[in-house]
Amino acid sequence: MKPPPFLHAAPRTVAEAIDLLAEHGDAARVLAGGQSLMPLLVMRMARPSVLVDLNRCAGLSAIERADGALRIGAMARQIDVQRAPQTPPLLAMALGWAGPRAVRNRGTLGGSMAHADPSAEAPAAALCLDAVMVLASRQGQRLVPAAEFFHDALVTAIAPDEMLLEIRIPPAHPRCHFVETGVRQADLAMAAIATDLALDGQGRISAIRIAAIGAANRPIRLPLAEQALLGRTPTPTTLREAARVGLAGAEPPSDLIASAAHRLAVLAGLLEEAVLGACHTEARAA
Amino acid sequence: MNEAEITLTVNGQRHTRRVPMRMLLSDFLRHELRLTGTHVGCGHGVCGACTVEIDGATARSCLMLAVQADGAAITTVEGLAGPALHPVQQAFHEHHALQCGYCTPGFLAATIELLRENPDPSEAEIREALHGNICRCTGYVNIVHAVRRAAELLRA
Amino acid sequence: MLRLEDARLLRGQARFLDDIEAPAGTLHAVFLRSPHAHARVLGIDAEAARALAGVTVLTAADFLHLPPLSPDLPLPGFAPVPRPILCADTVRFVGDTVALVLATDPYIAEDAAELVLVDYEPLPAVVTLEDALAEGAALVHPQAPGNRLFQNISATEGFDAAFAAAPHVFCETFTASRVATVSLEPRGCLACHDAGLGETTLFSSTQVPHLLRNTLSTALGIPESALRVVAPDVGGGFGMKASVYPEELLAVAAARLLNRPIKWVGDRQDDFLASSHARDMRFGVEMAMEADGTLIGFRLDVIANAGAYPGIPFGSSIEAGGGPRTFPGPYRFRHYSFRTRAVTTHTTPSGPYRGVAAPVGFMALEGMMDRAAAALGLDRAEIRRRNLLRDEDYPFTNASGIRYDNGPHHALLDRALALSDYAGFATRDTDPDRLRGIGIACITEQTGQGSARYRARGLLRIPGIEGARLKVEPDGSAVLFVSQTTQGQGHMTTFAQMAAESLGIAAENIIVQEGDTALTPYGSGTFASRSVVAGGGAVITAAEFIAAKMKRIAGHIMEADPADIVLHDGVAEVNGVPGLSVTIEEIARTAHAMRPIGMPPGETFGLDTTQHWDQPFSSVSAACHVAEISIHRRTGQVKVERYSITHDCGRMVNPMIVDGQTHGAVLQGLGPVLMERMLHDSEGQVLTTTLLDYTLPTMLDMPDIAMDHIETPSLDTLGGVKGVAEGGTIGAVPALVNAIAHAMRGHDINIRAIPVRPETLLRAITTKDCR
Repeated sequence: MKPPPFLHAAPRTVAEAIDLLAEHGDAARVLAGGQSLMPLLVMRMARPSVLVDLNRCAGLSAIERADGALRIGAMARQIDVQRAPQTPPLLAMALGWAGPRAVRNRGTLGGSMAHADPSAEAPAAALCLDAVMVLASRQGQRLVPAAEFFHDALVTAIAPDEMLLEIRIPPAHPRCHFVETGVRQADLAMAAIATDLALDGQGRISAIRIAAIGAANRPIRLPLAEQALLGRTPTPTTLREAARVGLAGAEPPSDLIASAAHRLAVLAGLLEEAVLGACHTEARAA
Repeated sequence: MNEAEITLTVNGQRHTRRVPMRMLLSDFLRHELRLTGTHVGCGHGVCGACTVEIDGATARSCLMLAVQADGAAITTVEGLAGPALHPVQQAFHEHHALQCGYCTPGFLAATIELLRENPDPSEAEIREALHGNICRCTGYVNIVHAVRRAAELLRA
Repeated sequence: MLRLEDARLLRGQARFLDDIEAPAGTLHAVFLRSPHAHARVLGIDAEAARALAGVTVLTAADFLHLPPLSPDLPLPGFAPVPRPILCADTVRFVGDTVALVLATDPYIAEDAAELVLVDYEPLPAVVTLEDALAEGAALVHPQAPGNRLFQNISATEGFDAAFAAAPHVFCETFTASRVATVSLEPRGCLACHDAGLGETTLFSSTQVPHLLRNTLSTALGIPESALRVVAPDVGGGFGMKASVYPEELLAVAAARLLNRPIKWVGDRQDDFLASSHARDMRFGVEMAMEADGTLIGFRLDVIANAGAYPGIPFGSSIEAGGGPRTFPGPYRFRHYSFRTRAVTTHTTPSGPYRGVAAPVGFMALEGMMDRAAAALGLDRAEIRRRNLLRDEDYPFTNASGIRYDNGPHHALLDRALALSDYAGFATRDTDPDRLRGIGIACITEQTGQGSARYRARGLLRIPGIEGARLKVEPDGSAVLFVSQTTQGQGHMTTFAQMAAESLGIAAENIIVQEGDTALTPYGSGTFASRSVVAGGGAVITAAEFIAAKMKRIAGHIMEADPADIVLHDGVAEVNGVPGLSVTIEEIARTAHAMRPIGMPPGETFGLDTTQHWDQPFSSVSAACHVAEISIHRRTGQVKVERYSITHDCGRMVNPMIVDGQTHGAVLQGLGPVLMERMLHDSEGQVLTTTLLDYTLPTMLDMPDIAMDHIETPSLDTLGGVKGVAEGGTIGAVPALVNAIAHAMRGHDINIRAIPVRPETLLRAITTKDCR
């Protein structure tokens, strides 16, 4: 398991990186943390002739607030994002599930988004939080909402000559929860639910967002579940019903890990557990 | 030629080498520098046997290219002990936390990072922190005990 | 005693196969493997590969002088089939070796392998046990009609009558999925040939250097005296590395052909495809029982999927033969009838893996005991008590003819129930979101088999003996060369301890060397929990021989009767004469003609002896495992909450090592129960070839393990020891399966196949909850 030959380029600026992508297009792959791409390279399932290594590229790792949103550079390491005080708790929780420590030390937030493994946690959290991806190419920058970013397993809106610069996250709701399950106690996610919500003075859900891993070949929101819960008190009955309508029509993948039917069954339980869990967390100050 | 020159510090010693761009860091350490204490168990970043410390953080050396380590400071298992064993090594010895020894260097690196940040971890925290390292011999039982003992030794 | 081998392992100074510095001129090997489960090889075009600088491609055409091997001997019950060293015209499993690609570095070797074009004509593939046995199934080998490689049918006298008269007959079929062994270090070898001397040295990550050397000699037509096999540090073997593989034979053949060192380091995908698989088995069980729950007997129908070729040297009967032989366990019954078969399919060959068939066999046996308990309204511990062998049953020969030396089975059960707080289970079953269960497994482990057992099993290529050479140097330090090998079992410590017991030399001053056929006496190797019994027997014999000689020399020096000499802590003293002593070093120098006082008359010089040990009967260890698990009601995910073992492996030389071996063995039972399975599609494509697809237990999946020991010295071994290291696996599979079944007792589900997946459990939980 050795990679095939390639040219390794380590641009120092975003402009250089963009030039490389423009020049090589499909023949280039961006190397971020390497935790997802390197296995593909050594198994020779990816064969770029140029590797655009962003690990020496300036200006891509900041985690800062600007214009009311949290802006996280694509090359910010998952462990750093997880621990940053400005990071919304939902994203921090999701990253806690994203793999063992050594993986999160090198793995980047942007890399996780761009790779778009259907079982990855960070994309689901981004979707739940209505994150916006900032993409850059020679044509300039464009903003793509998370809802339009994840197309399919390992397929995103990023064009061959584009790179992900930044993930922008608007302010989150005060309460959140993330629950995941697999075969092992720590595993690739078979299914997971990310949710953030707000409760009004009477304990009713005044705002709610729910994203699912394992309901499709990519993370998806569950708008019907969200609607079913808006304005309601989270009782077992309302939750069960919300899960039922929210997942109706979902087409989870069937694979070595689980069948579609099992994922559906599990997601229903996870949804209830996630929403209840969020309701019981301390409301976070905005 | 897809080669590049790199200079890096490994266990405090500086090295300059010309390497193929596709050479994995694990191969560089093991075959170029002859530091064979870092082992390769899977080659795709799952088992953790190849874990080393790079610029103060653990990383899977089988998922890095040697060229990416240019300018880096790396600590491998060979850099842990002086004449006496490192306290973590000593604890692993006392608690029979190794059998064949193949996974051990990776566990040592991960344990040192854990204890640097959490000097008194609970059993649950230990299992959570080290679950990325696979062992086939010990069943992990004694490794958990060894990490608790190592925490004691480091706190002393 | 802490392990003597640890320091260098901890410091990163071990030398595993890939750590050995390859000599100048080494060619690095990649094996081109078949992507088809069954195909004709119409042609191989290596032109593009050979165009790369420094690349050589070898195919079967380069080794026409090497006939195929015959792993099975033509003994009753066997249908021997040939096993080519390198496939010429037919490939029989995904991973079968088609070509050997050699280059000056491993990266280029992979580049070159990709450029080799092989023209295959795919053929229908037989994949599962059922496929193999189906009417009109394609034949994997023309020499094996019905795809059967091995069969044994046996029945005790009076079986049919006893069964017919039984008040109760319980029936069930238990199935285990195929698993891979996954030692953390994959296989690898380095062959170095000296053309001048005509001698080849093979370094190999093997458990069986002498057997490997035998096979090399036979397969390649090289005198054994011209071959040296060295097992370096080995990163786990677990039985998988106790087989001899084509890669090893080809590395030597290529080294001799090209007169270049040849190095092969398997990667993880090689390992999943080409290293032995295991436990793809089915146990059909009929259990005859009296109304009070006492056993009358069993009828078994056992099938093992041996894969495309029999392994070397264990052959096609390793699992099928072991199944009925190990099944009877610690229970008292006379009537036993079985049919057992090994079938061949277009899959990776099977081989021994910790416990071999016994983990599956005990899943069946202990599963039946629980079923009978439920049917008869008996407590699960009580039904076992009514059947466990008692002290007065010994000496005992079980229904499959295996002699048990002793075993405190009742005490093991009672103490395990106490250790696990079995009685307090209900107090822990308080989480409404989880189903909780507790399971018992009472097991035996057949260990340390000698030549008689291997002959009886038809495994004539396994000598069953072990040897030890003990050499005390002039300065009184000692080296112990043992015919066994270690893959982490702590031989450097255990064997030193065993020798130290009689020698008066501290274990720290006894260096143990293993693994090199040029240095170590002839023996079988390490597998089947044999080291402390078989190797230990040789070590004790050698140590006692040297001790006796040292006493004679000491007696001569001190003018005392050797019978009055006591050796301890580096000195020889005369019993009852304080102040009169001589050091071991003085004795050793005397033996090397380096002291004024010479040797006793007639005594040979030196302190150097080679002794062998042949264990007459396997020694049988025993244990009781109690596993407690919980199942998440909404996901079906299983968590192992508590785990307890009481264990009797005779006299324990090093209890710390015994415990460590047992912990690791439990892990290799837990994995197959909860999460491990080698999957194929219907065409024999292997679906699980990385650690992402084939999931291994992590530290979060394994519980802490409470252990308690009873030491009932063996009556049949030297030193009273019994083997250890597979019992943990043999007990973990049934204990965990029974625990899951117990947790699911209120639901309509029959747990009789492993792995038990969350999906299976959730479906049953949900069905019940909807009613």
